[in-house]
Amino acid sequence: MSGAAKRVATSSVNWSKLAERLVPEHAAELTRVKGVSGTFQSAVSQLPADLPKIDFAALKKALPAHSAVLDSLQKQYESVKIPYGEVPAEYLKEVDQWVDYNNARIKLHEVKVADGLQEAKKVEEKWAKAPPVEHFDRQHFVEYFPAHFYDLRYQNRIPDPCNIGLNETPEIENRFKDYKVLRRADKVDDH
Amino acid sequence: MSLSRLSSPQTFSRVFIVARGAATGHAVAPSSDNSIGYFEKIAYRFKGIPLPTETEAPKSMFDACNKEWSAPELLPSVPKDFKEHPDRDLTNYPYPSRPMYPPKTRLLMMPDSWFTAFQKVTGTSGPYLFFGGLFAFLVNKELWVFEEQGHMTVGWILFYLLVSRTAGYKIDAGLYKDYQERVGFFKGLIQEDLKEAVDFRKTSAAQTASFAALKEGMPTSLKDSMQLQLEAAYRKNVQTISNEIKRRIEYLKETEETKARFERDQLLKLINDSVEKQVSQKDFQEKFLQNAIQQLKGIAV
Repeated sequence: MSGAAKRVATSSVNWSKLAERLVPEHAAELTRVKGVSGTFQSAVSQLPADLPKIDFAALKKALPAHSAVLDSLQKQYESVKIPYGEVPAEYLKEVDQWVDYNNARIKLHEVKVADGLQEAKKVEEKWAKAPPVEHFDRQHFVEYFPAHFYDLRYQNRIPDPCNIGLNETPEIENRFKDYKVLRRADKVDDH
Repeated sequence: MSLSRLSSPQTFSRVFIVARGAATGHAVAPSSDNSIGYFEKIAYRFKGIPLPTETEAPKSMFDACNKEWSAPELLPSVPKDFKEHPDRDLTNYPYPSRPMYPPKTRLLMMPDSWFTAFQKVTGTSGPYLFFGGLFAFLVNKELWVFEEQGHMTVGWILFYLLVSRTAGYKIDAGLYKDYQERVGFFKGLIQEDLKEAVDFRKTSAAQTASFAALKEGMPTSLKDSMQLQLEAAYRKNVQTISNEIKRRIEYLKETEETKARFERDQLLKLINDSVEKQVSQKDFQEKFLQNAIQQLKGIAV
């Protein structure tokens, strides 16, 4: 029969357990491999594993006229050797190439994670240093919630308690830049 | 309210006990509403005392009167080792945390800390005599001059007491609730700011684990797929050879069966021809009829 050194009848990968640990992007990659492997798995499970045993002696008794033909058939059948073959080396190299690609991808991911962790630590340290909100003093509100509070001691802006948007346009600042009262910019002073 | 500490709980408790005793006394009476007078019923309603036929105390609008409010949950305190700046001196200048309750006072307006310094030396009366004497001196020397409208302060104090005794509890509860909501708003802003960092940590951890699993599993699955492809091709070849050998054996069996069938057909054909040839002869017909008649005679007997 076959002289193959190693035969694989089923995949050694636990697909469901492996898929649980993957994020959707990687699960998509694994799904493609699983699809191809599934195709071959179904073919393997349907087809016979080995050549069937044929009782030529019984056949010779049943068919004495064809004993010569059966003899030659038996010799041919017993001498049949189906080559198993091996995975080509170039295909295995492609797997190695994928491994290299994946390692490069992992390195990039680690670099991104390191940068992101730095940013995350900044935010976390900021709020770790802050006093409890219940014990905020006046300047803490301006420091920690600049979108909601302002401090006119050092911020150049007009008080806008009703939030009507006085600081959104430079009109007021331009209007009152000149200390003279109620003077329009286009008025000619030629008295 | 800080002023509620000046009221004497014992007096109120004593009055309450007396009222409860009155209710208990009436409960012993025969159980009918007629035993309690009209005005006594009104008094029970105002005090929140259940009538003998009632199982629960009625809801009264005066339940919150003369009631002292206390926070269900204290504000979180500043950590002991909290430093706004590394150089801050926490011993002499601790962080000015917000107190939950106002400090204790005496006579509605004087801080208790002014009195405790004297009390060790002069006893309880000393501080009152000191501040009273000081006040008298200031008034006598016209250093503290009363305005003609100053006497209205007494009325304002009484009004304040009236409001704080009646609505103080609800005001305090409402203010506490509003304060909690306000602080909750800021805490929500903080959580929103931290959410991105927390989500990033979770997402990056999941991706790192996913990369590790993929690195572990993918090369194995790829190689297994190729091996399975080899196995599939091999089994395909096995099937081909099996089909071929079976086909040839079936051919040989078919040959033998055909030969046997042909022999049988020839034999049957020969027999049929002989029989027909014999039947067509006239002698056979006569011989057959004689035999038939003899058989019929035998049957008749």
